[in-house]
Amino acid sequence: MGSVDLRHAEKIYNDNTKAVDDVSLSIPEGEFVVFVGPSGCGKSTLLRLIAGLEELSQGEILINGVRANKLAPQARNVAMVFQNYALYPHMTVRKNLAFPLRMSHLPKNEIDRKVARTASLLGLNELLERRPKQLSGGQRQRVAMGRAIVREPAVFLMDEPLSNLDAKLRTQIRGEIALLQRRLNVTTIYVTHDQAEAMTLGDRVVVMHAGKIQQAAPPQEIFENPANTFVAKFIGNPGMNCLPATLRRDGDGAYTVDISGQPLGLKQDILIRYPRLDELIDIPVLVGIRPEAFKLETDQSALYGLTGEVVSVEFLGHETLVYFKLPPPSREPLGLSSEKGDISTYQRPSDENIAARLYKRHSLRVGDPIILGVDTDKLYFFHANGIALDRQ
Amino acid sequence: MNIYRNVIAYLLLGAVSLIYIAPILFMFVGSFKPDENVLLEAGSWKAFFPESVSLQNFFDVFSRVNFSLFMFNSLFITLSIVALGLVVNGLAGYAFARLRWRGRNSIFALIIALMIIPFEAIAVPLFYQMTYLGWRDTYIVQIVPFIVNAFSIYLFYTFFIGLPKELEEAARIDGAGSMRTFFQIIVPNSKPVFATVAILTFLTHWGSFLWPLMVTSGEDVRPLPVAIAQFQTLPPLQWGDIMAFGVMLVAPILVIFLLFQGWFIRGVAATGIKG
Ligand SMILES: Nc1ncnc2c1ncn2[C@@H]1O[C@H](COP(=O)(O)OP(=O)(O)O)[C@@H](O)[C@H]1O
Ligand SMILES: [Mg+2]
Repeated sequence: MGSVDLRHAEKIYNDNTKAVDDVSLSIPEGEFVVFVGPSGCGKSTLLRLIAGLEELSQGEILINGVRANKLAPQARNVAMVFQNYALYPHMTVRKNLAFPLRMSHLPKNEIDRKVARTASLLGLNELLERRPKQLSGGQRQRVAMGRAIVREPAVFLMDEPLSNLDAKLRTQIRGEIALLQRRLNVTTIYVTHDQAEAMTLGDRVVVMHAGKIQQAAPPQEIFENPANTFVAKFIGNPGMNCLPATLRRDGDGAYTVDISGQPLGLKQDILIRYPRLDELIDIPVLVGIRPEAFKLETDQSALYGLTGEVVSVEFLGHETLVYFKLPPPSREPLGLSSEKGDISTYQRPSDENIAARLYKRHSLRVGDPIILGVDTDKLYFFHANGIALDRQ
Repeated sequence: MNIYRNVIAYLLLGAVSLIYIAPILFMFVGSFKPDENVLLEAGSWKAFFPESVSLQNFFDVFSRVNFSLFMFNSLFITLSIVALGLVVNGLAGYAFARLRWRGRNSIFALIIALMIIPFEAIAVPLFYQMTYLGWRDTYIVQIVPFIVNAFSIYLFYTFFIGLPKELEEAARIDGAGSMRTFFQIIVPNSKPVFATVAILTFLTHWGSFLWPLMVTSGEDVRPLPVAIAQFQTLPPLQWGDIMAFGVMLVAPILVIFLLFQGWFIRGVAATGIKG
């Protein structure tokens, strides 16, 4: 009843902004898909294209297998929840809910029945005679949801529906939306810039950047197997640290990854996860380390670790986020490759601070030296262009 | 020091407003006086404080001319222009503000340019056009040329541009077409601009004199301003009657302004015009 297919969808605005760039995606009926990405990456545009509020420049949109490029919004059988709710200010909650039904010329008793059902589903019964102005933010949000639900559309579209709520309410309503969607089982396309929202809500998460889909996969897959460094850095709070590095293999076949002149030894079974690791030997790569892969070494002689200087410390109660930077690599070119006169492996130190999530008690302060152990089983490898190295 | 300045400011403002109020007060007071006293007392304090109050002048107006016909004509013509103008200019302003169509910007520029042409400049060609159509001595000739108004379109345009777009988008997704969106979503949320345009249009056309004088020859479709001018030439010249006529001419304006004052001020604030 509600599948959506995008085929090479492209949207160029009048001022030549390419907001959506060759997006192809199939959304089967009943799926909860979340588009996530930084502000300006084209999420809203994509949603508005599906709603019919903008016209495609290239490509195709199919709703229920029917080409919808030229269909007016009202003919697409989609409902949309706007960021600022867009409730009709001059109408009571009841009339707001009834409006889409009136537009489809349902008989009066049918309208009343559906409004009543939606109101009780969302707990709006006491608010039916109020105007939007007389409602709290959370209540308005619910009415907006109600207006979308009431006409039982084929697809729900939601554009950052929670961004005007405070953090606590946001978490609460997020849960309600998830429940509701599962209960109604209506195809839902949800847009947010908040990766946590995306990861908790979506059956599938679509990470976007600069108008392009970076990766579309279930949340766990997105987290565990990011397709590129953009996804890796965007997902997680903070995201993955992606550091320029060089991979080496010594005569015994032991692998070392050299990050800013600090070598980390890899275990042999790395090849099980990354069978094609050898392709990366001695060329610039990016190594991904999740903040959770660090641990504070009390034993200063730890073998696999990074040494740096603390830049900032965020105490969060049960955990601490420590940001540190690595010292610049020594001037002397290091390692094997330089002996061959190959300068391509010269590493710039990462200009970004490295984030580490620490659970142990510590007394680190800004400017302190820090030694952090790295769980090398949790390293990720990316080509220099940011694309993830194939994994098993 | 501050009080001093305030007192001076209030005195000045009071004096200036007196200049505006004096003629109106003169008319109002004169309408209750015997005819001969109006001019006789014009130079004294009695101009503003009548010794006796009588409604005789008002009765005279009704007995000497068909006042109710003129009043009906004025109301009918002006309210028709207002009502039709709200619909036509409102829709036009909406089309310029929100609908996407070829040539929109150039036509809008043209309409803005039209605002600077004074009516007197087109009165004569318009007169020939109306004569050609055979519309002279009708209501139509006094209504139709004034329905479309560039300034009204501009006022609507500026207001609609400032409305949140999401409202209309929500309505479209909910299944409303352009017309329905306009009448059921836009109009109810644009009361201030409708009130402003209504009042400005009413004021403009209520006092309209030149055009009705040009296109009407009999009394049948004549509005009040032309009638009052004629009344002056109707012997004997009785100033008290003229003042009473004048009072009844401005009364509807005062009523309307007092009724819609709040909206008017909100509308002025919303559209950023100075009345
Ligand atoms: N109506 C428009 N005209 C021109 N450019 C636009 C318009 N709407 C959005 N854009 C541009 O398109 C890009 C994507 O915008 P948008 O889809 O709103 O991103 P997001 O919702 O991800 O923040 C941005 O660069 C934005 O400036
Ligand atoms: Mg957006």
